[in-house]
Order: sequence, then C-alpha cells, then structure tokens
Amino acid sequence: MRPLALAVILLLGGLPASDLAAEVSVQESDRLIEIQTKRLAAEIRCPVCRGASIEESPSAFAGEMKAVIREKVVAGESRDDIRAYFADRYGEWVLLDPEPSGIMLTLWILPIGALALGALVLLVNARRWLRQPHHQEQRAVARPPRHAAVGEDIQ
Amino acid sequence: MKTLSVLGMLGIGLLFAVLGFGLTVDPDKIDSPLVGRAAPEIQLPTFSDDTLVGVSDFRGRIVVLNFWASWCVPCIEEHSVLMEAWQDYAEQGVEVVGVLYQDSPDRAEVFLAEHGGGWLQLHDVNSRAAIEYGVYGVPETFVIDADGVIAFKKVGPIEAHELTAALTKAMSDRAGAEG
Repeated sequence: MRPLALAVILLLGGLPASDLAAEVSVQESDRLIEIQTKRLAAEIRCPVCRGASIEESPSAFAGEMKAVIREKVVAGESRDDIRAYFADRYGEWVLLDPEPSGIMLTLWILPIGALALGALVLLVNARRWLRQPHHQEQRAVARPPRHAAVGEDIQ
Repeated sequence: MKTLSVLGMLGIGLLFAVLGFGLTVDPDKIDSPLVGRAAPEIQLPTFSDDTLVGVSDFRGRIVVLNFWASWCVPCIEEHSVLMEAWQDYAEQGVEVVGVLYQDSPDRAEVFLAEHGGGWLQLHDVNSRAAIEYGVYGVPETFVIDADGVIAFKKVGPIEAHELTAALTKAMSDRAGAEG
C-alpha cells in the first residue's frame, strides 16, 4: 500500500500522529527489505531447480533460502556478505553471476577478444575495399578496350 | 589478413572448448568448499522429544552425518550401507546421525520401521541445517572427523567402499593425533 494512502486511512482512523509516522516508516522499511531480498534472491541459483534462481524457483527449499536472505538483510548484512555466505557453502556455481576468476575468466576474455579481432579484420578489409575502385580505374586506363586493340579504327 | 583469420578461428575454437568442457562437468561431482573446514554447528531436535542435539556434542567421535528423506528413493539404496556402518563402527567411536530433510518425523518413522535403523535421528525443521551444509538435495552424507572438521562429502547414495575408506582415514587420523 502506498505510504500516502496508508497515512490517510490511519489518520481518519484517529491514530495519533507519532504512531502514524512510525507505522508508515515500518511499512516503508518492510517494502525496502522485500525489494533487497528479491534482488539478492534473483542472484542466487536454486540448488534444487538449478536452472532457476531462488526468486523464480517454486521449491520449498528455495523458499527457505530466501527466508535466510531476508533475515540477513534485516540484520544489516551487505550484498557481498550474503552472496559469500552461500558461495562458501555451495561453491561459486551457486551465484548466477559469479565474479570472473580462474577458468571463468576465459569466458569473459574470449568474447571480448573475438570482438576486438573481428573489428580489426573489418578495419583491414574496409581499407582494402576503399582502395579497390581506384585500382580498378588504373587497370582500365592501362589496358585499352579489346575492340580498339583488334581493329585500327572502328568507324 | 590470413594471420588474423587464423587467430580468430583459434579464439572461437578455444571459446567452444571451454564451453564444451563446462557441459561435461557434473555439478554433483563439484568439490564441496566445506571439505577441510570446521563442520557448521547446528542444533536440531530429535524426533521423540525435541531435545536439541548439536554436532559439537560429538566432538572426539567421528560422525557420519546423513541428510535423507522418506520420499527419497536413492535413500533406500544407501540405507543398508549406513546400517552396516552403525553396527560395525559404533564401538570404534563412530556415530551415525540422520538429518531429516523436507519431511515429517511421522513419515520418517514409517520408513525406519520398514527398513530398519536405530541411530540418532534429527529433524531439520526449516532446512537451515541443509543450507548450512550446502546440501543440494538428498541423500548427502558428510564424514566429520574427531576434531569437528568435514573430512568427506558424498552427493547421492553413498556406497560401502566409499564410506569405509572415509571412516578408515578418519580413524587413522584420530589415532595419529592421539599417538
């Protein structure tokens, strides 16, 4: 519920202003906690349904893992700390976007390297293509038309 | 130009090699980061009277910590292996402890009545113990040495020779430490 709408309802209900402010603050705080929890849950792989995140997975176990995330968010733990908690227990594969290191680094370097190489190939070829019409004109001037070579005078 | 093309082909080939290697890796065979580290402390209730029991209560003994469920078919496969270990190694300071995962004690009792077993059973009520131990699913078995360090982890039904080897090593390490 939007804080303003909640505030109006509570005010009409005769709630004291201080209690009203506290209630709105709690609601907003809960909302922020839920947002942070969902974001982190989307970064952690469900160990049961391994193709899905904890946020997407319908499994009860994913629900329990999400509850752990929520508790840690409430406790004020950072995103890195919470990710490390699961990685320490399951391994880096539990993170849907692990930090690039070790053999995983090749998956980052190779595509970028391939793009750079492809750009270089394009650049080299582009220069050659741009020079080609000029060369063709030069060849045309150097070699006269065939009919003029055969006969002295077409006319 | 030819050099660039060759380099490009090599790069693409290397990328596919890395991706292909990844396809051959079985997550069940990925080494657990917990092996070699202190076993996470957990306090779980027993089936009978909710008395809380912790892994640290068994310090000095070797613990076979087995996560299982009554609905788990491979758990039936390995049950006899655990039974033998419980019977053969108890007097050598080995404790077999079952941890019930995503299940109810009532159904677990029906399973045990059918398949046997008298070792300690604990109930992982909200799966927190499973999360602490990095459990993917059941069955999973840990061997925790006398110092409380995880010496071995098996994902899937444990086989007799695997458990024997892990326990033999843990007992040998303990004897070495005591000697």
